[in-house]
Amino acid sequence: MAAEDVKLLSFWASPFAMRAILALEAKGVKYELIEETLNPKSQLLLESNPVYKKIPVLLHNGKAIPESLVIVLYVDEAWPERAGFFPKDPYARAMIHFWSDFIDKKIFEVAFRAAKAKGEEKEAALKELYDNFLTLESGFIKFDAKPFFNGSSIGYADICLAPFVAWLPIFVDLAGIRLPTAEEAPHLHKFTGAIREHPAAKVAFPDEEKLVAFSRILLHRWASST
Amino acid sequence: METDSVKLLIVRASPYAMRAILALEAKGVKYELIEENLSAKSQLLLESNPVYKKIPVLLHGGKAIPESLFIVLYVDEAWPERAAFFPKDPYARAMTHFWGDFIDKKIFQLAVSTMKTKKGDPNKEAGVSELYENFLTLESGFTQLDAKPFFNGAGIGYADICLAPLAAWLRVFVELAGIRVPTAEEAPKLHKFLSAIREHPATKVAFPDPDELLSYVILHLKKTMAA
Repeated sequence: MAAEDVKLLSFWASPFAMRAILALEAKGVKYELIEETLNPKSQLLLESNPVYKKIPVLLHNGKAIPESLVIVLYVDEAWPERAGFFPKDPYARAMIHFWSDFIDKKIFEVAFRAAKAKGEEKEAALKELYDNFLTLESGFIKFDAKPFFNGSSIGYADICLAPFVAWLPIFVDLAGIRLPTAEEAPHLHKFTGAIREHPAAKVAFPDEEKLVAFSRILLHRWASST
Repeated sequence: METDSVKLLIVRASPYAMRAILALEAKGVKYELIEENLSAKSQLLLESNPVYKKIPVLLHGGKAIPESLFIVLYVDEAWPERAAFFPKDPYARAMTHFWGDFIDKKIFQLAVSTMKTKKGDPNKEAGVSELYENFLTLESGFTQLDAKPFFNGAGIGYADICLAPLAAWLRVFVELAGIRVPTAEEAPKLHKFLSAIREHPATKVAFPDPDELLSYVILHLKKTMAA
């Protein structure tokens, strides 16, 4: 049933698009990557995601699935025969959802807020993010991450977090984000090391220099718009 | 495992707590309600939800599940033998998640933030306009999932439980946030949903007395906006 026409509307620098690519790569699904320019947005994008008009959008045999976390869920269920993204136990599954939501709201959103902000607002966001990383460490511990939430292979929460590692040079060097040390957050550091080596990340993550160059433009745009 | 005790930490007025109650009622699970005082949070709440320290929290046989939407997901999976909250097809399941997330962010979060914005602040009117548009967008969601009148068909499911507390809070949002809801001509499926949910046995349990709710919110808002 699941063999067939799979396309992903994507943008190379987007951490959300990276989640969708990681999911497809982890499942070994053949797909066509359609790079969107976003300015202007293609007719296909506007029709596939009329609610948000954003990438990524997965097109599977003509059905359109938007929103990165919904795409990852869908990929797990449309290709259930291998590389399951969730544990079997209902409680563990609920807590995977919990930590992924935490990663989305309290890591990614706060990091972007810190990158865009200035002065006191920036300092407050940086402090909040630092504390959130320490909280995330407790999540890794609860799941006995080895080094992934999903064990030795990547799952839903790992895919949710992984693109942060691609953006790390930008967040740290250009946005002044501080991560806890390897002593303070050993699981987090093991995770980032392991993700960098993961074959799916080699496909999903863009060239670091290209991403740094792109983000300089982005940061400049953010700075001049405030 | 299903015979372990089930407790739910709540505040009666919270739309998020209502979601958790609706899920348990829909599954016919026996549970104990524990009402929290948010100005003096219990040790149990602080220990059960150390990350956010918020209600609702579901306690099942010693396990603590926080966040309303994950409680609903958990209840569906811990009691899988009846009243399934999701369809079987992966695409329909994905779109149920999509619309549940839209409802949470683009209806509830927006309504609450609009309510908390001071009168006269242009963001308030912007919020009201955006919310109106979002209700019209939601209509397309009802259509996409072929709601009859619920997203989940004749019985309530994940997206329905996510949206249902709107029926209890609508009067509060209209009176305190000035929100405008499309008419029954403009959004027939939304109106059919709201009527049907008000008649649903689960809401008779989950929804508080409307006058009490309004008084509680007015009092609580005064406190938070004065801070």
